[in-house]
Formats: sequence, C-alpha cells, structure tokens
Amino acid sequence: MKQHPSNTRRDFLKKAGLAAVGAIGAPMILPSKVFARNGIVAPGSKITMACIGIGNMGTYNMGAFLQKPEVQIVAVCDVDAKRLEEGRAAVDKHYGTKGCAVYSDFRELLARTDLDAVSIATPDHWHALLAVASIKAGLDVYGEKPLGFSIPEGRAIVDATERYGAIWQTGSWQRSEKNFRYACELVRNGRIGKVHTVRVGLPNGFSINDNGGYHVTTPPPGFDYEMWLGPAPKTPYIPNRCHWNFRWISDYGGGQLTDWAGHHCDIAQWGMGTELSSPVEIEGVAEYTDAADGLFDTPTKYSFTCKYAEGFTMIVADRTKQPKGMGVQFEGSEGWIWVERGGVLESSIPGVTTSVIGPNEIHLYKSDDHHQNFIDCVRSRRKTITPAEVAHRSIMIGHLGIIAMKLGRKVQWNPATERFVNDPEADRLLGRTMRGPWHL
Amino acid sequence: MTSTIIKHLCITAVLLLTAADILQAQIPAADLQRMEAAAPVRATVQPAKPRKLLVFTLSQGYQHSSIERATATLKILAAKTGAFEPTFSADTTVFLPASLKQFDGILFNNTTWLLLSDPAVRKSIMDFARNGGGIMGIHAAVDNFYSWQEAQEMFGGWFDGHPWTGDGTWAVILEDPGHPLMKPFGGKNFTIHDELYRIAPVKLRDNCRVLMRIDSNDPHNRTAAGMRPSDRDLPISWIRTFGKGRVFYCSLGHNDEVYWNPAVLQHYLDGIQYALGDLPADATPRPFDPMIMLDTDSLRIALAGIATYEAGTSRYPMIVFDRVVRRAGDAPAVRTRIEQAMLTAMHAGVTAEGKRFLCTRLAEFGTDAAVPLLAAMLKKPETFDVARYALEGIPGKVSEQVLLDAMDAASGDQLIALVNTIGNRRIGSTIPKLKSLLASSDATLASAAAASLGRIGSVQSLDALTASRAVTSGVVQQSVLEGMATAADLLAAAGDRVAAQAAYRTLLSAEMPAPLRMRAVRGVVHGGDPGMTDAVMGILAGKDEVARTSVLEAVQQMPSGETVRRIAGMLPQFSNGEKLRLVSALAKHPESAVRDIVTGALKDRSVDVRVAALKTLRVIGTAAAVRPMAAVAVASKGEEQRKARESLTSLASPGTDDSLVVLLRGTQNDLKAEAVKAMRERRVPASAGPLVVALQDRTPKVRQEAALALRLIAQDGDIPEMLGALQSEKTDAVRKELENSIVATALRINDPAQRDPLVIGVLGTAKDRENRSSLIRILGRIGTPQGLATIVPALKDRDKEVMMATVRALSEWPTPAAYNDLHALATTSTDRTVRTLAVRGVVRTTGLDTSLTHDATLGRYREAFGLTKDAEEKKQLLALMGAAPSLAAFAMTADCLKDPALKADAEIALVTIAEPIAKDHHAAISPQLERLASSTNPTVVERSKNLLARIAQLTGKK
Repeated sequence: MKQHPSNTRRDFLKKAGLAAVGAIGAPMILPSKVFARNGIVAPGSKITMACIGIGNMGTYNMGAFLQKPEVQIVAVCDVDAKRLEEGRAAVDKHYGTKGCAVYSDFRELLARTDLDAVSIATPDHWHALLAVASIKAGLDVYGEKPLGFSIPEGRAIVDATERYGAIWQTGSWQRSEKNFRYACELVRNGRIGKVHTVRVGLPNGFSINDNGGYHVTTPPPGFDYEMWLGPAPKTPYIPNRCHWNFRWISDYGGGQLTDWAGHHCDIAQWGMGTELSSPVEIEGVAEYTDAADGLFDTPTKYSFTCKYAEGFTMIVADRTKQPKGMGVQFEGSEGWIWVERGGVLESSIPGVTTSVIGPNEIHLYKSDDHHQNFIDCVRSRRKTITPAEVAHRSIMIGHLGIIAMKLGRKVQWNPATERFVNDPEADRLLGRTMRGPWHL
Repeated sequence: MTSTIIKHLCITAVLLLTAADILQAQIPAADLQRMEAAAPVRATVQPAKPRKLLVFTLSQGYQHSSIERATATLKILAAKTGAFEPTFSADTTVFLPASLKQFDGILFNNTTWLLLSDPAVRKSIMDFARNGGGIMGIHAAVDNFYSWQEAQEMFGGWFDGHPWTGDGTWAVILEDPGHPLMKPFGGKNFTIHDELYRIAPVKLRDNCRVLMRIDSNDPHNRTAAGMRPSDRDLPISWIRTFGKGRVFYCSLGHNDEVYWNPAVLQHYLDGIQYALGDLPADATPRPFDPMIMLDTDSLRIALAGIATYEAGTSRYPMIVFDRVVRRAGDAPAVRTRIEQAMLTAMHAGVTAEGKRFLCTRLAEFGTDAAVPLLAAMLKKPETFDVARYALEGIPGKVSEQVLLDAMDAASGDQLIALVNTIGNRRIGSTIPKLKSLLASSDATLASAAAASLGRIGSVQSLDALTASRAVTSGVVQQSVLEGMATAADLLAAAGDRVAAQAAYRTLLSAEMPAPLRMRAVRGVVHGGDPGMTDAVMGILAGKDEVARTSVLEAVQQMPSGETVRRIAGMLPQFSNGEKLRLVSALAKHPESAVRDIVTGALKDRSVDVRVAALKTLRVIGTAAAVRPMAAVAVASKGEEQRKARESLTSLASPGTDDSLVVLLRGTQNDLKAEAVKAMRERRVPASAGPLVVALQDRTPKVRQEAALALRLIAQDGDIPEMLGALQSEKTDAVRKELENSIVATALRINDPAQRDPLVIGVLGTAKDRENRSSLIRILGRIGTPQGLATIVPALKDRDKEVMMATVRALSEWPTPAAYNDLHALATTSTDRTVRTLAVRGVVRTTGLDTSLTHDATLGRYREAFGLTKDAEEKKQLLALMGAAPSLAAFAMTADCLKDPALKADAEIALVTIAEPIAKDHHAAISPQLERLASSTNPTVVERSKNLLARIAQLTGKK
C-alpha cells in the first residue's frame, strides 16, 4: 500500500507524546487519563475515525466512510444502546472483525488517543458541544448540517476550527453534486445577467416518524434520555420527542427551515458569492400548527425576504410559496436558472445550461464526492468545500428568518458583528442558555 | 419672462382642461349622474374669499385610472358648492412662484413617482405651504417624491403597498369620531369596497392628526395577502399644519364607486376646505395607542391554558400566547401588560412545563419586573434551572445581583450552572469568586469556573487563570489553559494584543498539550503581534513538530509578504508532511517568489507534494507554469497526471494560451500532444489557428489530438484548411477525427445552406476513393437538401466502396428528406447489405418525420418490416423503434409480439417506447402494458409495473 506522508493530526499528537483530551463544558470523567499516552497504532496510515450519532444521517455517513479504503472506523458512539449496537455490527461486518469500540458517553470516546477525525450526526442542540469538544481534542470533523443550533453556537464551532486549525466538512452534500456546482458557476459568470433575486424553496410541514406516540412515559431501557437532552431544557420523555422528530421541536431544531437551509440556502450563497456574508435586512411571516400533538412547535409554513448589502434579495419560503417549488432559482436581468435535486438544472435562456465555463471564467471548488473531499482535506490540510464558516453563514439565514418571523417585524442584521442593529430585543433571541452543567 | 410663463401656463391649462373634458367624457353618463347626485349641495363653510385650487395631474410613474374620476369629482364639488375654483395642470413649471402665487392650495390628484427635481420648484412648493398655502392629496398622492424627503415628511409618509386590494371590502375605524372632518361618517366605523394603502410613515404620528385608519385587528382585514405582522398602525386619512399652511391627505379613492360615496365626497370637501383655510379643525397630533393591538381576552385564555399545561397535551395555549405577543408588538406599555399578566399567572400557580415555557419567554422579553419572582424560583430545586434561563436573558443590574446572590448560597450542580451563567454574561466582579472555585475539589465546578473566566476575557480574568495554572492539574488544568486561550482571543479581538500575546507564548511552551499549542500558534499568527515573524521563525527553527506544522498550516492566514517568502524559502528542509502543508497554504499567496518555489516542488520526490504543488499552481500559477505542468502531465500517470491536466485546463493567468501555442510549436511530441489536449479543454477560440497548423504535424498523434480539439473550437473559416488536411491525411484514425470535426464545425453555422458548399465543391474535384468516401460521409452527417442531391448520384458509382459509403450516409441521414431514395433502394436493390441498410434508413427517417399521420407512419413501418428477410433484420428494426417513440411505433412493435422469434425483443422495445409516450397516450397503451406486466422477463415486468403505477398516479391526480 502507498505510504502517505505522515500528516494526520494523530501523528503529531502521538509524536508530541500527548494524548488529546477534549475539555468540554461538562463533568470530565477521566482525570487519571489526562495527558496519558495511549500508544495504539492504527493499521497502515489510515485515517482513524469514530462516528457520533448513529441515526439516519449518522448511519448514512458511516456507510460512506466505511467504503473509503483510506479510512478505518474504530469506534461508534450513541446514547441509544440499540443504535449503538447496530452501528457496531455494521462496522464489524464491513471489516470482518470484532474491533469496533462502543461508547455511550462521547467524553470517553474523545479520551482515546488514536483518533484522527469524527463524524458527528446528532440532533442540532448537541452539535456545538460535540464539535468544539472534538476539535479541542485535536480532531478533524465531518459534521452534519445545520452547523449550529443557534447563531452563537455556530460561531463557537467556526472559532474552534479556526483557532485549532481543524479540518471541517459540513454535510451540505449538494455542493458535491455537479448540477449545483455548474448552476452556481453559470450564475457567477453572469450567464443570466446581474442577479436581483434568489428564490429558495424548502419543504413545508413536518414528516413524522411515529416512534410510539405522544404520551409521557419512561424512556426505553438502554436509551440515555438525560444525555440525549444534554444542554436542552429538562422535560418529560415522550416517545415521539426524540429520534428523527426532534427537528420539529424548537428545543432541539428549527423545523424544515433549518433542516434544509443548510442545503438550498447554502447553494444560493454559493451562487451569489456571498458565502462569507449575510443578509442585512430580514422580514417574513411564519405559520405554526395548532400543535394538538403537544410537541411540535416549529414553523410549518414560512416565507421571508432577505436583503443583501451586495444588492440582491433572497426570498426563502416553503415550497408552496415558490413558483418552482423546491430548489434554488436565481433571477437575473437576462433570465433565470433553477437548480434542484435529482440533477435538475433549467434556464429561461436557451443554451445556458450547456454553455462551457471558459478557463478565464470563475471556476468553483470542485468536489464529486463529499466524504472523499473531507478525507482528501484531512490529508492535504486544505479547506473543504463546505468549511464551518461557510456553513455558519448558510444556516444563519434560516436562524435569522426564524427570529424575524417570531418577532413579526423587519430586523436589521450586522454580518460582521453577528448582532442585530440597535435591536436588543432581537439580540435576546439569538442564543439559548444551556442546561446546567453544560456550557461551551 | 414671468409674463411669458404665465401666458404659456394659461395655454397649457386651457389645453389640459380640454383633455380632461375628453377624459371625463369617457366616464359613463350614469356614473357621472351618481357622482353628481352624491356630492354635497353646499360648502361646509362659506369660503372667506374665492379659493383657487391648483389640481396637479401629472404622473411620472404608473398612470392611475382614478385621475379622471377625481378630476370629475373636483369639478362637480366646485360647481355644486362653490367652495373652490379648480385649475388643472400637468406642467411642473406651474409650481414656480410666478404662477403658484395665484393659488390658495395644491391638490395632488393620484400623481405617482413625481420627482420635481428642479430645486426652484421644490423651494417654491415648500415656501407656498409654509406661508399658508394648502397641500392636499388623494389616494396615490403619497406615491411620490422618493428623492425628496422633505415633501414625504410634509405628507406624513409614502406608499408602501396595498395588501387591502380593490376587490375586497375592508373595515375602517374612525380614530377620531368627534372630529369635524369625521362628521360625514356619522361617528360610526364602516366598511368600504376600495383599495387601501399601507403608509411608510415619516414622522406621521409626530406631526399629523390621524382621523381614520384600517382596522388591523379585524379578522377579515387580516386575511389580506401581503399583510405583515408589523402592520398595526395603518392611517387612512389625516390633517396637519405645516408652517402657516395645512395638509390634508386621504388614501380612499381607488374604486370607481368611491366617487359616488356621499360620505367620502363630503370628507374630501371638508378636507379641501380645511387645507384652504376655511374649515377650522384641530390638527394636534395624537399617538397611536399600541394597547389596541393587545388581545387581552386571548392572552387571558392562553395563560389559563399554560397554567395547567402538561407535557404530551396540546400546545395550543402556547401557540395562542405567541400569536398574541407577536401581534401586539413591542411597545413598552404592551410588553409591560403582557409581562404583568404572565407574572400574575405564575404567582397564581403554573405547572412545571408551563413555567418552563413562560421562563423561556421571559428570557426573551422579560424585564426587571419579573426578577423578584424568578429570584424566588431560583431558590427551589425544581424551578432553579428555568428561572436561571430567564434571569440570564434579562439584562441589567437587578437580575445580575440576583444571580450573584444566588451564587453565594448555591452548591453542587446549581453552582456550576450559575458559574456558567456568570461567564455567559461576562460579569467581571465575580473574578475573585471564580478564581477561588478553581481550587475546588469538584473538577467539573473548577473547570466551569475556568471556562467562565475565559469567557469574561479581561486582563484580570486572564491573570486569575495564569496564576492558577501551576496549582491546578489534570482536567482542571486543561480547562485553565483553554480558558487562557479564550481570554487571550477575546483580549486580542478587543485590541489588547500585549496581554493576549503573553498568554499565547505561555501556551506555546513544549509541555502544553498539542491542540493548545496549535491554537497558540494561530493566536500568534492572527493576533497582529509585531513580533510575529520572529516568533514563527523561532518555532520553525525549533524541534516542536506540532507547533511547526501549525505554523505551516497557518501560513494561509498570514498576510503575503516577507515572512511568507522566508517560510516558503525553507521548503526543501521540511519533512513530507510539512511540505504538503506549506505548499497547500501557499495557494493563498500569489507572488512570484512563491510561484518559483512551488514550481520547484513539481519535482519533489513525494507524489503527494507534487500533487499539492499542482493544485496550488492552479490557483497562483502564471503562464510560466505551463511548460513544467505539461512536463509533469507527460511524465506521470494516475492522480498526478489528472491533476496536471486539470491545472493546465483551469490555469487562469493571462498568456496561458500563448504559452500552450509555444509548446505546440516546439519539438517534443509528447509536450505538443499535452498542449493540444489542454487547448481542447480550454476551448479558447484563438487556439483554432495554431491547431489547424498542427494538422500538418509530422506525428499522427499530434495531428489526431489537433483534429479532436478542433471539433469543439474550429470556426467556419477553418473548414477549408481542415478539408485540405483531410485530402492529404493518410492515417485512418486521424481522418476519422477530421471528419468529425468538419461536421461539428459545419453544424455550428446557423444557415443550413452555408454548411456544406465547400464540401460539395471539394467532392466535385476529389479523385481517390478515400477522399470521396470521407466527403460523402461528411455530407451525410451535415444532412442538407443540397448535400442529399449531391450524393444520391453516387449510389450508382462504379466504385463499390464509394457506393457503400453513400448508402450508409443515406441510411443515417439526419432528416426525413432521404426517405424517398431509401425507399427506392430498399424495394429495388438486389444487394442484401444495401437493402438491409436501406430498410433501416426507411424506419429511421419515418420515425423522424413528425408531419406524418399515425396511420401513414404505421403503414410505412409495416412495409419496412415486410421488406426484411429474417428475424435478425426485424430485430434490428425493433431496436430502432425505441429511438423514435410514437403510438405508431408502439402499435408496430406490438404486432411483432405474435412472432415467437421476436417476442423477447419486442417486449423490451415496447416498454422503451411506452415510457416517453405514457403521459400523452396512457389510455392507448395501458392494456398492452398490463399484459407485459405478466411477461417472463423480470425487467419488462418491473418496468411496465412502474409505468402503470406512474400512469395511475397521473390519472388519479387529475
């Protein structure tokens, strides 16, 4: 096998003779192991990874990383024993070994000294704590979108990646699909003239997985509900609160809007070249269901308008309110381009969707495999196609929309300070106090 | 001069009056009668003197249909009441002082987007108003002056949309029922079928007396699409004083019928008489009462529901609560009332889940008023944490003091939680307390204190952490170090670089955990430390590989300049991993010294470093990198070669294409071929010339690559030389590429008649069979009528090869035009190959012919199948059917199911044809599809079932 230069994080940490231990805002349980040397050597020069969160996207990402010969998954971590066992079994079956370690507490996992990277796919309210702890432990991270549960929590992740030099890939995989990249290149190169409006269509309503009803009961054996809640407020266990459906509850997510803004708003930002910028004025209306289920309180229908200092307007709305439904529609002075999943790429101008991007035109970051891009960057130490700052700005649009719609009025935003303009009332909606004892 | 203007104006006015009369004539007589009947019979007050009213009707934007109605109305009002005498004008010079002085008031009649950009005009109008003139506006009159803030302020605001459209009937509230100008409405709120405006106010409530407004609480008004949650205060009609003058505006007046609404007409008259100075009325501004928006009943009901709310039951009371709060707005009085209601409910007793909800809302908009109750809740374990959420959110000293007091009494998890909150709020006075907690035996508590000291981010908090470093150990020490880094980052961001850099230096020492050293390096690099260069050079000279690597990664964030150049210069002495990082990071530094170093790395021993160098050069490289990159492409394979070629393709630097031409004109064949490949990928039109020249190259490989590249790049002007090259070309593979390129280039010519005359000309003189065959193939693929006429005689050519080339060209003909010749050939030829090709051509051209009827198409298909001799030939035809899916193709193919030898092929062809036509012909094909669904071929079964399901969905939806 080809010998790669020794260039993964673990190599340095090992050479430095120091185990990386994440200091996380929570009780540490391994004081005796701090600074201890583990000494385990991973096979070859593979990137050793662990997967935190073995639910829907976690399982998908784990499957993708298992397919990569450069990667060795050595551990899985979940607060649900059933999912943990499923994850372990999948890893061991793939490698034909019995070596996959299991952790129900991520702090034990991060105390390992043989890791290079983690894949994190948990409910949103856990993202920042896990990401920052992993980065502080010297690891690179493949993290699911939305980046942060709130704007300040996203900022914490961005700061951590920059301060520790961690490689970060966000699960906004549409960037690694050709039609999305090509659409953005066409827009950037002026094929539809000067863009004045971008329409982003996202799903409406909820899609519920019935995990056993809406009544208060005791958590099933093997499910550490207390840990699942983590930084979220304490509240009785209800079967439909947790797996999958968490995203429809504002204590853990922001509904379809924040579930999808990390995809289509992200593409919209990419096409407009505003990946490191944000809207300056946001206004919109949301509808909420009458919530007879007793759980789900995020917007079911929504539409908000974002004005950019760069001179265009982005209209983010549920699919029922957009002419093209789902996807991203760039509207320029000469015509429009619409891009959507399933390879959809259309334009009002004949020939645009087959035009060639010349060598002297803008070419965007090219990745054809989102997970591979992460692995490549772990080795090369280059930025991934969706680094934390970019993902932060993409999901910021969703968070700003939620706040503006909650207030029911126009808000002005300062993209540089990440605060509203002379609007302490709106600023108070930005973050949330974590439940004791958790903190960032 | 002045008299000329006045004369001019008089003429204009006369002309306009005539025009207005004509327009008025377009209003149906019946309507005019109703307007006449509805108008007041006398002036509300007798004018003190005859009043001259200038009615301005020019629109520079949308031409509003109400202008004629309002004009007619004003004439009627004037004639019936004698309150004023109107003069109509659409000439902006009418506003100049010389003419304006004759008037008592100006009425803007539904004018839109007026600029009135002449400063003299603007000053004249303002002087007129301030000196006692009247200013009036009807309906669209606020849709003006977008570059004249003063005028918008005089009017009270500007048009901001009309969610309440003219096809609706909307509820109006008399805000001031006893006001003289509201008299016509009899003191009662009313509904009106009209288009109502949202006004973006410009000090409207500060300057104006609002008379009536849209009822923003009315449920039907709220259904208006486009209404915003922030639409609360929605004035319709108001008056104000302006200097010695007066202003009247009313947004009613869009729909025709409004102009025969007696109350509205009386209101217009009264408003005009007010503005003209005849009708006295109180114009004292009054604020909008925000409490009107608070739905106290719903609030009470919602809070009652929240008081008994339990997890797992309906969240409806919370939804209502949020709706009430959102609709009520954020006026302090409203918020106070809501907060009081919340606190009263909480005092009376609320479930734990109810309290949790209310505390999250208090965190969002609670005030000091809530603090005593929250302080009490903080003392109870079951409500401690939710009270803390609220207290952390409520700004100010009162909540801060409660948190500090609680910290003195708390222990265990509660103390940890309070320490976190103190850090989140960055309360500096707690530093001594937090410092003492660093010594706690509870590691979680001590770590939380360290993190909070970090977040406070002051020199004092950093000092407290620094001092505790040595006396802590294990996980607490780790937290102290991280706290130091956080504090240093915050200090650096706040401008205190000295304190920050001292902390970073401490964290850089070798005994620190590796991640912290990585972080400290970035602190040094980002912190703007003037000694940054010395610091990083020191690290690079040292043995600490972690720190060294971090420096190299951080090179991408350094400003370009001397430091980066020095580091780049050290490249050869680094390990492979370090080289990789440095070369990658240098992509952010496009300068020549860096470029040379990275170009040198193209020859590094490590393939990873070479690939990294290619990637970096792709970003920062210039034309000078073309040759070395091409050399790598020639010498390498796999990923390296791919990256080299990608870099050549996407190198954006000017001169790149010229450098490729230089390479092409060189002597090394491999490099030439790479250059041509790159030219092809780059598709720069200017490359066509050099590529045409390369068609004469001695090496077939170069010629072939050039021909391939020209397929995408060549222009019509290149065709003669490409044809010339074709004639002398001896290598078949090159010839094939040239044919392709000539065809592709010809097809790029818009006018079909211009595509092939040159080819036809060359064919006329070509002698040898290879060239003639080539040219016939080319003409066949271009497929023009003149091309067809040219090659058909060659069907009788004595040279068998030329003849066969012609048959093939016809068989593949891209339009239906070749049908007749193919049909003749298919029915008459005795040569089996010729006949087979001709029959296939017949089927193909039939499929292309969209002008044929279903029956004609089917007839031709049947004839073609009849001309075949065996099952193999028929199978070939079946394969062609899928390419031209139609109902006729479907029917023909279905016929073949009867033939056992064809059944399997026919089934596959049928589903292939069915898929694209299913949408339009689902009824006709469904029975056959259902039979296919029980085929013995599982693929056919699956595809037909899928299709049937799609059809069911299609028809079900309809």
